[in-house]
Amino acid sequence: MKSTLLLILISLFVFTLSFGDVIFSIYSEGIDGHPDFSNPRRSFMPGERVYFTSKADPSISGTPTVSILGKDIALVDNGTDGDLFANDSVFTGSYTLPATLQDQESVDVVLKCGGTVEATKMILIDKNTSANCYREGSDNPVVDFGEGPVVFKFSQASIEYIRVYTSSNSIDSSGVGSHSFTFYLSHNVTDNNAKKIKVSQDDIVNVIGYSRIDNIVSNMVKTEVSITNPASFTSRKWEIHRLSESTMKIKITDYSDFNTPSIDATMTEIATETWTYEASGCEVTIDTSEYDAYQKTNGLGIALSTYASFYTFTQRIMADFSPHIYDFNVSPTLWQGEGDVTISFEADTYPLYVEAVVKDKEGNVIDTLTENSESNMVEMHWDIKDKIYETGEYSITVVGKALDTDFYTQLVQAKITVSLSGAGIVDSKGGTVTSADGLLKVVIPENAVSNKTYIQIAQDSSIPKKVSDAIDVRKGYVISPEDLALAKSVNLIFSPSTTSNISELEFFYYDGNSISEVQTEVKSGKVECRVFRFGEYFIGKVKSILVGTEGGSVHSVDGSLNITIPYGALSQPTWVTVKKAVTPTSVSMEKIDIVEGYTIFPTNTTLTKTATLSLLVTSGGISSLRLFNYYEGGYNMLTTTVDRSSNTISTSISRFGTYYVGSIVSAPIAIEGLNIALLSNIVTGVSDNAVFRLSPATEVQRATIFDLNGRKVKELAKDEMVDTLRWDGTDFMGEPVNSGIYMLVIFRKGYKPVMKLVGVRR
Amino acid sequence: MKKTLLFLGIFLVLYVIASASAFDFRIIAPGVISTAYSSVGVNEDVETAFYNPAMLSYIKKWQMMFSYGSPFNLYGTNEFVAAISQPYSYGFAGSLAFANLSLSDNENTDSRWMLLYSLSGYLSSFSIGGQIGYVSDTNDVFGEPEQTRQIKGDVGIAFKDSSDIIRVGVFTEDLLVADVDMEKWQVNLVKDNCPKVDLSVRIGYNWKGIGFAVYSGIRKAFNTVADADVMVGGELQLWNVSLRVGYGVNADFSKGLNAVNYDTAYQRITLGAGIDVSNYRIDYVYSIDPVSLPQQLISLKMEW
Repeated sequence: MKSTLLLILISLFVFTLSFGDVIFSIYSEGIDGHPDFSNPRRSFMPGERVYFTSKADPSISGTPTVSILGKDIALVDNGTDGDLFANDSVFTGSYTLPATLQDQESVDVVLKCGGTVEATKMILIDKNTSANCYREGSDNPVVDFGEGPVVFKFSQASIEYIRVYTSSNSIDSSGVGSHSFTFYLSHNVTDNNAKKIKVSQDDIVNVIGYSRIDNIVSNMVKTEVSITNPASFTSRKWEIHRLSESTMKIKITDYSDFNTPSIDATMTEIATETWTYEASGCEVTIDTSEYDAYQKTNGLGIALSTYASFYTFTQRIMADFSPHIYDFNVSPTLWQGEGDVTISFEADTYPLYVEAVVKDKEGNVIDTLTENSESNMVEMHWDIKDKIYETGEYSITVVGKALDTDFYTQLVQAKITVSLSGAGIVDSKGGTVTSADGLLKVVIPENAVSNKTYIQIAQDSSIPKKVSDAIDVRKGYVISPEDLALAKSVNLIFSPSTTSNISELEFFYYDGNSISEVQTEVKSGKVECRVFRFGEYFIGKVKSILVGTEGGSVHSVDGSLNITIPYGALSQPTWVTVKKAVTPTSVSMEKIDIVEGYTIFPTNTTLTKTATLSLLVTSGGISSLRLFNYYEGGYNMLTTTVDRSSNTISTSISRFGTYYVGSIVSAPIAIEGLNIALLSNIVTGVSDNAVFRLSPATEVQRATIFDLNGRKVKELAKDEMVDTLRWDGTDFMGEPVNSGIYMLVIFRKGYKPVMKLVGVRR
Repeated sequence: MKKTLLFLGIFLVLYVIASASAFDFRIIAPGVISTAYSSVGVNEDVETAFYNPAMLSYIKKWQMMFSYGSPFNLYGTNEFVAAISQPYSYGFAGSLAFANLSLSDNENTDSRWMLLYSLSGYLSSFSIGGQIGYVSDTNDVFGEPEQTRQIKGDVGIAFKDSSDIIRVGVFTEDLLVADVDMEKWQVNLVKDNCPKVDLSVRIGYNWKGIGFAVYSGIRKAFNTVADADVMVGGELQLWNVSLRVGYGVNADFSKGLNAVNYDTAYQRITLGAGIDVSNYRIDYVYSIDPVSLPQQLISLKMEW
């Protein structure tokens, strides 16, 4: 366990330090003209298209360019020419190899960044026509091998002799006698007995030899055998079986390099004569008519069999100790809000440190996953939730690093499409998020949220009893994050599937304990409201209460307004509803500051006895609050009883209608040229605010709350244009201050400071 | 008389717990402020009537002071201060002090006044003192004018060596504070009261009318916040002229010295001067405060 942890720590350290490199990878063409990330190759056919990718540390500047066969190819990160994603920091390019390239030819590929050579790799041209090398247990021939076994297979005939060599080391083996031969690449030693050949990274290893074909026998009566591939004719062995009288010709032209065949063996019946020739580049002709002995034998002819001499082979492979990723897979590639995303692949080495970077289309890093794999089967599970909040396409780029050699794998990439329903991401630019059913839109204005925020609208299927008791619910939604601080109000727009009775619909907010109406507007078939917080919202209508002539009480859904109707006040049983009223905008803010209002339906119902309307005040400043009604086009202040012990204000009413609670606003008082109107200069409880309105808006150097010892309590504004100042009764540490009298002092350039008294009562 | 006793009896019997806090009332004396309050516990003149009662024992003559001004240089803030101290005789020294702070923003007013009575005497080589005060506040900030009253009690102890080289003083502020409810005839001990303890040390020397003194002080409030006031000050006396300087800072020092940079309620640099003419003395202070409000006060003292 300790060693594993140590390994992880070392690997993280090593990876971090050495990542100031360039990861340069070569691929064949996959689907859709992109690199085939899942199948790394170093061998290519002439005329084949080769893809390159480059991912450089930010410290390495300059556009990457690949030089190959005298051509310079600029790599791009703009989503073209095989580039899977624009702006993902992975540059891609491609090149079609000339068709004239020869088998086993090696081609250098050089990566430059800003003209500086950053990496060099080599590819091999392999037409795959004769022999091949395989990884152990694999059926796919490859040309690049790390340390370990290389299996050479020759399917046409059993291998007679094989020689494996680099420019400086070689191993030889004769009499193999089978169709395959295994040798080993080694970092350290060349050992002929152990079939180990010492190699370095990117060494070219030549594999040559010859094989023997058995049982290829021809009736050679007047048969002429030509060696069709003199270039590969390096050695041969002949056996001639005399089967009948016949003439056999074996031509040897340009046999200057050969020993002249001598056929002087006496062959009576079936006889075998064997010649062995060592030659290169020639044609052999043997005219058996010259050999009388064969002709004298009745009933026999001459057959010719060859041993492999025509099947010499040459194969080149490359020593490549880089780990490789195979069968790279990302699932699902379309994520719709559920489950993890799995990244899996097979590696040809371990332990392996793997890093997967997820980016959006702008190239912003969304997440980085790392894994230390102790197995060559790597599977990473990415908890995508809370990481990607926006519908769109994202790139996943994976690179591994072998912990024992520090070599990187090739770079592999995948695309993932995220499709979110009922959610979205919004930043300071604002935006709109729509519920999954399409009925509710949350419109967030500019600068309402400061950071990139994932906003989700979940349909609320469980309606709390407290809600269902008060409201006929049409729909419910939970908008999250519920604790998000909104600097501006957010518009909730509900478009009901049916517009019947739409005018009665309202938004309601439920905080888990109590329910409150939200000031709602119905227009153009839509129900709209503005809110300053997310959370649980319901759309519905307030339930009515049947009040008989014996009287009763009705309250608003939030329970703050209560109407007690005495016996005999109503002449007939009446369905009574209390709804929050729209706060009037026509009231001059210089006179009345309306806090809230309620409408009692049916309006204009006259009571024969007065009912008591009482309102629980939780916002503070109860002393200055009064009740008003709006009747016959004007606001009338009602005789209001203030009960500070129960925090209620009450009045008597003789008709149903709209009633408001508010305060008479003091006329602005000019001090030092600054008009300051008090909306409230007291803080009561813990959720109240003192509010001062400055008229006109004024450039303030500092607006600070001080205690009466002159000590700073909290700064409300600094070097900004201000029209309203609010203080929540907390100090600069955010702690509620003690009850007492405080001073708001407003400093302006060129003026004496202005002081206003503020009271705090807990 | 019976009525008074009954009143007091009810006051004492109805002693219940209330939740409030002591009135702010500290900016009074220019001499003390000019050392950024670092000398507050060891000040040896009538100003100590507002702070450490134990220092009264060391005052050798009758003294009286008056001060009037705008403590924050703000329109609508006024302060009037008067105090008299009796020198040590018949085994005790005493003082009576009065201060009034009134604030008005043209719309609301707050007027508070304080009456303090202090006594001190010697215990061994230490001087100990006690103080009882009555504070009244009247304001209309919450609507109709309302008056609230408090009584408070504090104690102090002081030491001074015979050659007056070293002085040490410790005293409490708002040790016990109680609301006085005149309607219910109740004295409600303030349960959320936040007592403070001031410690001051003075090292000084005087030779033929030329002297110097350095002060250091700590004021710690016993609240849940780990903040404290730390003050240092100096005084140079050239015959009948005194020059004073002080620096004080309030911060949560548990956060290290960096706390001074951002968790600071005030940083106060004070400059002050005093001049003695015959039996009169004028003290002046100007406080530069980059965080909080500046202060400027002047007082007149006399002794006989």
